[in-house]
Amino acid sequence: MISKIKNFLLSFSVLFFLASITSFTAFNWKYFSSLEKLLLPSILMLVALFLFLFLKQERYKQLSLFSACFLIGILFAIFGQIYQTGADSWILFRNWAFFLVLPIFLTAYYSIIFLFISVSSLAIFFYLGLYYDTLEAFYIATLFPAFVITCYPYITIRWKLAFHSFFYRLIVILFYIFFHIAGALLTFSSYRWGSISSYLLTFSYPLIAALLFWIGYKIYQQYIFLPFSILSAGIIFWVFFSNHIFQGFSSDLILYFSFSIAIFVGTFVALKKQLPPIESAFFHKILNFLGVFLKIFIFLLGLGLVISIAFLVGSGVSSFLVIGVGLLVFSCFFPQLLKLKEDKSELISFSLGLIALNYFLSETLLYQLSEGFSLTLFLVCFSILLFDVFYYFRPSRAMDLLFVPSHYYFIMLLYSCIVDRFVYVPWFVSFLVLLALIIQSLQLIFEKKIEKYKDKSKVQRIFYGNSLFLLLSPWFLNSSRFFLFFEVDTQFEFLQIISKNLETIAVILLSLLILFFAFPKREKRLLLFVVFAFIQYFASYIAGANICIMLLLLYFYLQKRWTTYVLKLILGIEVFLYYYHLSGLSLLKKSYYLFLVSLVLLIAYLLIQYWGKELQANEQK
Amino acid sequence: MNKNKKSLFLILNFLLLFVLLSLAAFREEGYKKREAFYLKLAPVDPRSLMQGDYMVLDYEIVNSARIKLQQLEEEENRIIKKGFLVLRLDDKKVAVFEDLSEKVSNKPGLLFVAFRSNGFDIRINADSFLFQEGEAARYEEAQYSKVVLIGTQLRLVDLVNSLP
Repeated sequence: MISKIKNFLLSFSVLFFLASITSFTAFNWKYFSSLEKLLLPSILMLVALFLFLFLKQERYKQLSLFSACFLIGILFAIFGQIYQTGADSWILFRNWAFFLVLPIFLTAYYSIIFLFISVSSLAIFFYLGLYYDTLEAFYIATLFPAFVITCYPYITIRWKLAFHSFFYRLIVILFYIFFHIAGALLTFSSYRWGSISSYLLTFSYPLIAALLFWIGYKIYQQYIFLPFSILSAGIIFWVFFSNHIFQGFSSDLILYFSFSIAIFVGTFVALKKQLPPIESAFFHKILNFLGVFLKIFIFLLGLGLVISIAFLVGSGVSSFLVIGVGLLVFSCFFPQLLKLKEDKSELISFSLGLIALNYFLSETLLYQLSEGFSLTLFLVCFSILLFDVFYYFRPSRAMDLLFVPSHYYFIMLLYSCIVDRFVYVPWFVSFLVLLALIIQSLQLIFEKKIEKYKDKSKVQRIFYGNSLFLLLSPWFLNSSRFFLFFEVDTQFEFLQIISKNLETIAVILLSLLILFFAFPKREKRLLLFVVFAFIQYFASYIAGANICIMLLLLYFYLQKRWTTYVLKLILGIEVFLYYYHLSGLSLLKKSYYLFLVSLVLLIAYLLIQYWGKELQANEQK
Repeated sequence: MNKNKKSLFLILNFLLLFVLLSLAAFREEGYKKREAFYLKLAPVDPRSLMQGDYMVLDYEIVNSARIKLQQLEEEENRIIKKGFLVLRLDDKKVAVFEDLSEKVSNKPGLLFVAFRSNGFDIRINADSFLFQEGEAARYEEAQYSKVVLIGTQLRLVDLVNSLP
């Protein structure tokens, strides 16, 4: 665990530092001269280059050179900021990409290759955006990663280089995400613009998907293309169906939604049943993820179908009763129909049935209840009761994940109903976060008992749901609209301050508790406590970072490799969101906090690296 | 290639970057000293965005050019992606739109400013103004852009509330 902690400390120290420099320079200082503004990234670049040339460890060299390469972009951005050249964005990214070519060629560091692909794609997007429709530019820009994923295996074979699976799979996954977003948007808009290029690009969408399947799977034998090609087939078929045929069905939404659901159910079945078996934890995770994505899509289409039926039947609100009950009953038999008993897909129909029933109840009871009786309270209690009953009799993995967050939401709504004001109460949410932290600590305290429990994966999923709530809390729970509250309670501000401080302290304490369990012996454990107390204190200024770091420590300790990968990705996204979010904090202040966290992470790394060698032996696992 | 050669090439890569950027900076510093003129702003949009604050600028000459461009495209039944705005300076050094042209000519008293069009927007290289975060109020009242012309490319020097 200590080596994972050290890797995390060093790499995120660099990330936070680069973010702080970007934020600092984006402030666009009027007090500094042009030379001073250009000197800052230049000096940092030279320092990074110097470190690359003179440090021995490969990890340090990679981080240094990556930093130097990233600073190239900052330098160009400052140049444009100073001289107001009015240069198009594409020129900045083009020049940046140009100066990345040689470092890639000389070192073949994948972090820099990834940076190059991102920068080049952006250059293409911005260039084409000058002369063509934005959606066309976006679509064409996604073809650059496609070019990379078709050439990369050939290059490794031709020049006998090592094939980096993680990098290749990551590029493939990212490519498919952006490719389908771009392709779908382009297809939906093609007839609106009416240009020949739009038509050509639209029809290239399925052709390129097919070509990639043939090259990636048939020629290069890369398994990752198979599930994504099946998914692509479903998405592309639905996109074309929606765009070209829907116009004929525009008055028959039921048929449209039914057919759409059938397409995605068919894709889901193909994904689960038609793939050749493979012994790889990574691909099992990918297939699960794609399955979840399809279920969410089917759910949304199902929602549309329910609403369409209700409007078509025209018998008013009572149709929702029929639909709701029907869906709840259907959800008991749905898995048997598809022979997907293990998958527990009935959650989709259950959720739709619940929504339909709630709508019926809200509309019928509204006129029948006497004054003073809270309809919302009734619906909330009814929903959570139904959820709990269904969970008891027909538990599923998705319901395990939703169990804790749904009950937190229920508590929030309950409070609102009791005070008879449908308001969002920030301090109350903070206290819920405290509760979630306490529950998360139980995962640690009872870890050994959970390991021995016969249904341990169920318990772990429940704790995952709790972790998910904690991760979302800094961003979404601070936005009242996420939970459909339209008013924010501004009373009791002192409680807000108290609750936020308590939250910070609780995160620090839980982080220290994790370290206490992970390092049972006393040697140098105090060093870890001190460094992480400081890290978590400063990280609390960056929304969500302290909770994410705490969860990383927890899942490092529990040895959940994939969870830690996802958490690192989330932490990177949080840094990105913090920088971009218009939260009222100035860029200068953000730069200051980011720099502080970076510094503390670096100091922590150095202390552990040079004074904490005993910690390796001290590890429990 | 051995390690020393690789290091040398890397150093050369970054050295090239610094040399080119320094040359560009010297050139840009020189442009600031050129004779400037003014473009009348259409209503500006002070907007705070992620990479520093900036304003999106719109110009009266661009509005006029847009109308002219649409007329030309309809007459000639083709899409025009790039060309030049033909401008003339009045006695207060404010640019006035005259015409659109596909080529630069030597007619005296005319300025040619390159533009690009994606069918909807016309861009003349001075479409946004970056400033220190929090200074938006200072520029909200701006009436004119102060620009210099480098060949057929505009460089934005400043935003001003009134003419000198």
